[in-house]
Amino acid sequence: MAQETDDQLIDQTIGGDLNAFKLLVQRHESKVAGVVKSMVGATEEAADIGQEVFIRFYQSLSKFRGEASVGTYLIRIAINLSLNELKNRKQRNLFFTSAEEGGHVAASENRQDLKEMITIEFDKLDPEFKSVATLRLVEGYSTEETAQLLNIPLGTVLSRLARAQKKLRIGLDKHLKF
Amino acid sequence: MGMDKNKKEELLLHSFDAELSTEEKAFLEKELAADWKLKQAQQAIVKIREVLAAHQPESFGAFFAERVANRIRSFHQNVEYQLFAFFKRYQGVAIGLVIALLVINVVFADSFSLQSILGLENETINDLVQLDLYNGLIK
Repeated sequence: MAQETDDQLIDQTIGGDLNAFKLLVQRHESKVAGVVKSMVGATEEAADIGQEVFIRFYQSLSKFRGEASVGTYLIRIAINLSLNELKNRKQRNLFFTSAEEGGHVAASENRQDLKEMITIEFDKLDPEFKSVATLRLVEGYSTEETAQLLNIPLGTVLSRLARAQKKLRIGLDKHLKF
Repeated sequence: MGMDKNKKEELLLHSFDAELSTEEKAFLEKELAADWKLKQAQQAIVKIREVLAAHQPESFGAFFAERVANRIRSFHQNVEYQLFAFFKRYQGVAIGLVIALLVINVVFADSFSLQSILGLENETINDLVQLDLYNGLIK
């Protein structure tokens, strides 16, 4: 049996079939989870943001008329909600953040593996660098797609990518020299 | 060659995502062969990119789709939502009725006033005194 397209599932959902929407969620969960967890970390908030992404999509289904693919639309919502979360977190937990940074130093003392060191440095990136790096380096979107998803010029994507990579490399150097 | 260390690194960083010109490519290759620190930086960036790209498929945990569906169901059961949906459904009819009332008043009462739209005549005090509103009788 041929798999239903996203558009068919959307039509069925609008017609009241919630199971069709569940299929859409299952189909796009992995991409959305990749973006959200890369942005805010594998925290409790990540799943809440994930739910919010799909709820907002559901609420705007009647307006969604395929100017962008469902995946693109969801990634945009995911990035925006993750950026909001990072902004709130920054305002909320100034003390907590400095304690967390202390934790990072302690972690480097334990000589964690390369992946963990990179993850630690990735988490420290500013939100605007993190969103570009998430889409391009983690999720594998092209630079053009990244520019479209974030609605920023290609030149900005390239310069943010360069700066993000420089920060990651310098951060990694510090860990390795420890 | 007058290019400083920062510019060399900038070129290196851009080489991963942007198309370099033939001259830039040749220059970068030459510098990479001559400058071991630049070569080391290149290797570090390659490693960082490999690690970041090699992530496992992510998920939000078991029964995520079901949890989303449950939230949607509870949203639909919410009274506020139902009221909103009700008014949204009949907003066109309501606007039509108001317009119809307005037109009727303009045609039959020759008036745009709020009172005439609401069906209230411009009664004087004396007129009201003459009316026994409680019994619906005129004295």
